[in-house]
Amino acid sequence: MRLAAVLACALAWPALAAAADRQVVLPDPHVPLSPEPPLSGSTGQARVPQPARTREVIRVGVDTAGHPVRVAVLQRIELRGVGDYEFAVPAPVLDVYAPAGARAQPGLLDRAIVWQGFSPGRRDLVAVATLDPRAAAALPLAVDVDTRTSGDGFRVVLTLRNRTETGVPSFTGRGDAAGLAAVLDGIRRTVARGQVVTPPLITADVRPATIPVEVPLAFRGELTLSPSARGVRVVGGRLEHGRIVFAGTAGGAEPSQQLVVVTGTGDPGPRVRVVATPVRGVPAPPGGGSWRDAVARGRAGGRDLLTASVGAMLGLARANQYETFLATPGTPEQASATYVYTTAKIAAAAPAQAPKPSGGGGIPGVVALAAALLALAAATVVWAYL
Amino acid sequence: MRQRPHLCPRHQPLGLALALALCVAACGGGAGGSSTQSASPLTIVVNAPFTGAPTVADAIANGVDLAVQARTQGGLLTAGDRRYRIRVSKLDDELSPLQALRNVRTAIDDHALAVVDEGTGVDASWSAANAAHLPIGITYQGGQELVDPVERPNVFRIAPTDRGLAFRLGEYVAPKHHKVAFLVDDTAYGTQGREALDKAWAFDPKQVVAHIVLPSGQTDLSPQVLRAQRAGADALIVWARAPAIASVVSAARSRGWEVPVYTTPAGADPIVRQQLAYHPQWVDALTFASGRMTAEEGPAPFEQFQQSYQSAFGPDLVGVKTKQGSAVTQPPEFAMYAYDMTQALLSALQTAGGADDRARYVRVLGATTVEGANGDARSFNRRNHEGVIDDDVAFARFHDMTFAPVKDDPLSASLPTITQTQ
Repeated sequence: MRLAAVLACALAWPALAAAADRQVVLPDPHVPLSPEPPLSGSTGQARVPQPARTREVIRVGVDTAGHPVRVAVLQRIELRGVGDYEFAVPAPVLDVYAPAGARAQPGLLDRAIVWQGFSPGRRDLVAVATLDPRAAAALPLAVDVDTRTSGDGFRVVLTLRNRTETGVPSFTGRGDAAGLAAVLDGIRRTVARGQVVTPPLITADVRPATIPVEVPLAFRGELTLSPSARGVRVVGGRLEHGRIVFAGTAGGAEPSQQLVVVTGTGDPGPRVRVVATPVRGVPAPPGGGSWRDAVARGRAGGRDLLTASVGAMLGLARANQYETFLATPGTPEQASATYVYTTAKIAAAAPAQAPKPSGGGGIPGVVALAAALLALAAATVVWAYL
Repeated sequence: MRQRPHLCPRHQPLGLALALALCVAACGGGAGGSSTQSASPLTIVVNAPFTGAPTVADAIANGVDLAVQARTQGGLLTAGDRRYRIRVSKLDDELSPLQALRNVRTAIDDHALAVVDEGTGVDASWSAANAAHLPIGITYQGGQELVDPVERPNVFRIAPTDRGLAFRLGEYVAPKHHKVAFLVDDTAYGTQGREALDKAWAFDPKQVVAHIVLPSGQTDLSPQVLRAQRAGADALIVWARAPAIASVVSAARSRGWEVPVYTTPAGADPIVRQQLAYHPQWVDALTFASGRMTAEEGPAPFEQFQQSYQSAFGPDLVGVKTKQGSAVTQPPEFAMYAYDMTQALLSALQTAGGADDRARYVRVLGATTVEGANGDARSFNRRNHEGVIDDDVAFARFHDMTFAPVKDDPLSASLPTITQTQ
């Protein structure tokens, strides 16, 4: 269905050609711009009273190089409404459980978390789901830890890369500046209040264009080194009580890739913890204030405003995608997601067992076993004819 | 015991020929044999307290019988390329875990398809049944530990859980700001209930002013009720078998104590009303929690089930009458759960393509969804072997020997009143 929406958007592209001063609808922020996220899986009948808010914490276990090895999601869906609920949250789920003391219990089907019950007006559904590690392909942030040693010295480069950028078939052009300024100011107010944005109708002279869209990610984290590390120097963060802490934004007005470089001597043994959240925002006018003021001051024209309006709506669509890593039924009033990357403890692989010396004087064990079986079969035949 | 008549010597050749013919018929009768003769027998065992709690056991057995009638053609069911003659065997557990275990062992020896169980003794019997890939479907007891999809993959339940009952009691009773006394009997049913109640009231344990155990078999529970009263309770939550509930109500009302009494589904057991028949007003305002009998779609599916049930077995008469003299009947709630469980068992048999691979059969049952008799979906999945959802517990209150959903609970207020008179 999401793919259909993307395709429908692409198919609508030619129809926009030569559209001069016509009424067009800005992109719908609830139409995903790529197949995932939310993650796909099994779906079924959905019956939900009224989803008010969803909150997700996506816990990503990474190896020492920063590559994801485990993905788990804590999803909290708040229902506000009276009536039966029955729906599936599609995802490549390996296991699911409710935290201790939770009121409702989730079910597990193949590629879906299942909820059934009755909401008396308020019901919070909380599930902790372990996902197939391949779900990591849909994560918004790539973490890379490059550790190099030379003699007694080491150099650790932590790279955080925003992976949310995508090209979207949409439109550009020039619009009615005053009208677009009012629309943009309205969208900013709605987003600031945390309310749902509906796609407004505008008047513009548009032409098709592929628009690059990225959702900025606010991040903060820490990098812990082994106690043997000495003489530590940091670029892109700061040393605080023996840990390197860092924070910033990847994407949007900031570079999509952020680095933290740590040098020193000894064994670094770096362990990372990064917390990232999608930043939902609407572009501010040049010089601050409202877009209406910017138009009045001559700081923004119809072309800038249309670009900002389309970009704002597509940006919200992208943010909505990453704020619902797991899908939620209906359209919740609020959704939020926090991505937590932590160096995971990985069980060491059992060392390969050395082949035991066979007792056959150099004959491999398998051959010896086959010979023994053949001898037994022959003996059985002889015995049968005795 | 009646003795078989001996064959007369001159009838021996005929008898031998007849026996031979019967043997041939029993072996399938060749290519021209009827499908009925080639059906393999397959038994569903009902393990329930037919002497200890007959109303519960009979309801379970009737529900199983009705489902077999509904899902088969004269008892015959095709699964894969096999035909089965589904039989129902009723074994009395006498409310004894040991006897319940013996019954399950009998079911294993007989290669039964499944055991539909009241719940007594499952703690002891599940392991042996699991080793034999024999599913146990609980349709009455709600103890939380009884069902665990990971530890006990062969145990399923379609009945309100203690956890659901206790949480819903908490949701319903706690906002009324009562000082409550928990009165639980000393059976496994009561002990499991006590655990569930403690968890449900963990958010405000100060509301609970007394925990009182009701000794089994003690008919006069006045001392226990007096203790609750002296502890300052202004509401009683009674988690016990039906006779104890009746005794608590009797002890409270005979003292003139008009304390509200909340109970579990056992409160709707006909025994409660039978024991209080001489004081019908004492039953009034007794409130019990149980699974909702009708789905959100409306009462039609349940009424249809009730009609089929009564056509097959006649109405379950409670044995009391209303003020107008109408005989009171018991809606077939627990028969419905047994019916739904049997539907799930037979549906899984067909999905699994037969009963030859029992391990596969149990796995298939663990991913089965059927539409219940009341229109609600009954689903098992890898993380949940409970067919009744905790949220689906509703409350009903007695008046004039029949009960109706309460109006001060959102779910219950949405439910219709089920016909309970003739």
